[in-house]
Amino acid sequence: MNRLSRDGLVRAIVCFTPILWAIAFMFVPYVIILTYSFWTKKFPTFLPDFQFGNYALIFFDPQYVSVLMRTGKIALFVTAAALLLAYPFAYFLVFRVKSAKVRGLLYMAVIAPLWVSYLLRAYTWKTILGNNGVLNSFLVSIGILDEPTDVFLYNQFSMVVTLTYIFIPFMVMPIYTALEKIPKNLIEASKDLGIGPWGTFWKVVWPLSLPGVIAGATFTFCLTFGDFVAPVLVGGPDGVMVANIITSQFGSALNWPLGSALAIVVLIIVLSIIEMSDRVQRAGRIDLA
Amino acid sequence: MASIVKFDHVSKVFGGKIVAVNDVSLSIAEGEFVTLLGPSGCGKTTLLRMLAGFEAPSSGQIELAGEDVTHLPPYKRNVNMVFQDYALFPHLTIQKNVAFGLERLRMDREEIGKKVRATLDLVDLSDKADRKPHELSGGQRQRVALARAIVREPKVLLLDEPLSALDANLREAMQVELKHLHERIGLTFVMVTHDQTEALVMSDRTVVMHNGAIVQVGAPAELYDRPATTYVADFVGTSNLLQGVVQKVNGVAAEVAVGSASLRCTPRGEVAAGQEVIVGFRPEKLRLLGASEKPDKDWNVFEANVGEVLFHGSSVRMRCKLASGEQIVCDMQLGTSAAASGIPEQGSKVRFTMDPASVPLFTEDDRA
Repeated sequence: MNRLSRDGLVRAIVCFTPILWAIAFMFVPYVIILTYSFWTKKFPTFLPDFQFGNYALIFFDPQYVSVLMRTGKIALFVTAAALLLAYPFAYFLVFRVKSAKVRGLLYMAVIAPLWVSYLLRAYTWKTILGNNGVLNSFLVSIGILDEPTDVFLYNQFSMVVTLTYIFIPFMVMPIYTALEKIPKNLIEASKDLGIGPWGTFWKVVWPLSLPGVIAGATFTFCLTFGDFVAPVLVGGPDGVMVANIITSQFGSALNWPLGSALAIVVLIIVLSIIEMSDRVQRAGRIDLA
Repeated sequence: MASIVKFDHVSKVFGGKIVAVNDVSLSIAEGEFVTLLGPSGCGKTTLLRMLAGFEAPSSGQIELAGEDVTHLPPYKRNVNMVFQDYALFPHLTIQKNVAFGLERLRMDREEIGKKVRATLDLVDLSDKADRKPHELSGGQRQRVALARAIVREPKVLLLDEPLSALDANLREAMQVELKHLHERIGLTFVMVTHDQTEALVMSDRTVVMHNGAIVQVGAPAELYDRPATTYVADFVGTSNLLQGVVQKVNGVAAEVAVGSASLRCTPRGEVAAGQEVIVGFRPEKLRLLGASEKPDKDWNVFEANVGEVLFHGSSVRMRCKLASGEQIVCDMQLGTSAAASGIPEQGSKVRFTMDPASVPLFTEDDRA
């Protein structure tokens, strides 16, 4: 084999491996799910078909609509809570912490939980918020409560808290990066032009960090939207999210066609959000160089 | 003229040990164009940043128009800065960049618009008002930075190496443009630069800094002709600096033995016979003597061997060697006739003559 064709072969392998990978493990499964979503259920199995009954059920049965709405609501709350916590933190790291070493450590402290098992992190909140948990013991010991309360756990509040904790690194990372990229002399220039710290934040720092905020919000929203572990661990009866319904359709309910249709709906919602945030970012793209 | 800026024994120490500015006292008159000149790390930028309010002095006081501003934050000082890399807001149009600092000045929208247009006219950029900074060339961005700073009518305009990001041709044009702008609007300019040509061309007064301290303050011609120290002599323009020993002092002139030659010089301070000194002279102060030409009897005459000859177009630079080994540099303007005639050849022996008044003498104390 001559050198040229060997180079060509190497190039082909390098190019096609990821494409093949994506086709085999993403595209094909999606197509299978999409196919299933048009089938009909005939207990105990499913029959190949092409009908929109599953989709009709999702959009006209209030049960599914309300789960979708609830999932969206919780995802919004988590996104908002994560943003409110992550932004000041990232701002503090980038603009207030003088020592690069301390900055690196604090940043790692937020990112490190990503290496800890998801389940473990969700369980942490179970022990904090639970009936015999840290929070209850503390409130009882300082006399605010007479006896432990169960209002902290097994509801939407505990889900928002847990999911915020779990996904906040995805909010911190892009915001931190966006803030770090803002040239410090722009802030000096703003102050030089008579604008105080507050005005400088709203007129310079915030608009220039928006791409990071949008990226972080997209991550957090989409990840929360598809989560099914937190509802099981810390959510109560009113905490069921759409991904739980999907798992149950593939499991105990044994209705793969409906589960597939739900999965496709979630996929479309998430893809639309990603597409939207992409467009917003592209429209406001700023050349910081 | 009233002084508008006053540094009173100002020092700045970073991290408890790095002395960036060391006991600087300087007064700047209203309407003056002052340049802070020095190599990087000499403290000139820190001095400027303290005037802008980005750094607080470790000790001393800064006055702006009679008011003590030492501890005032930048947004409460009536000075504006043109940043080295312009620091234009990338998310705003040129117009909004220029209007950025006006909203706080209690002006209505119409007035702001009028002012922004007038200022953009002044820097010849009215047609770019709706562009974003990244759509502009380097020279245009620099003019936007200038417009943004002067539109607020500050008491003092600060310029931090404003021309360093421009290419050579543009830089030369901008030097003149800035100088004209200064004359036209009559504002006080304080500029930081490491480029001595810029300082000489543009400023009314140049402050030469070294190791955080002021070495000499003066008009460009004064610095060039009467440098206070060998440092200034070498940093502002080029100087030949030769070691010598004073032979004889008579009145205002001193005779100094430099290797094989004996030169009459003008000492700046007291010198005595036998003292070791440094003789300084500019390369262009040397005049080549023709073979049969008689020198002026008061002028110095000495011989040298021509080493390298570098052709610069309108002049040549010769590296010559005295019989005793000292290297000197000589610049020779080429006259009105054809260029190549009259240039000494490499290796030839030539005679130079030089006015004693243009040969300053430095003592060891001036070696800073």
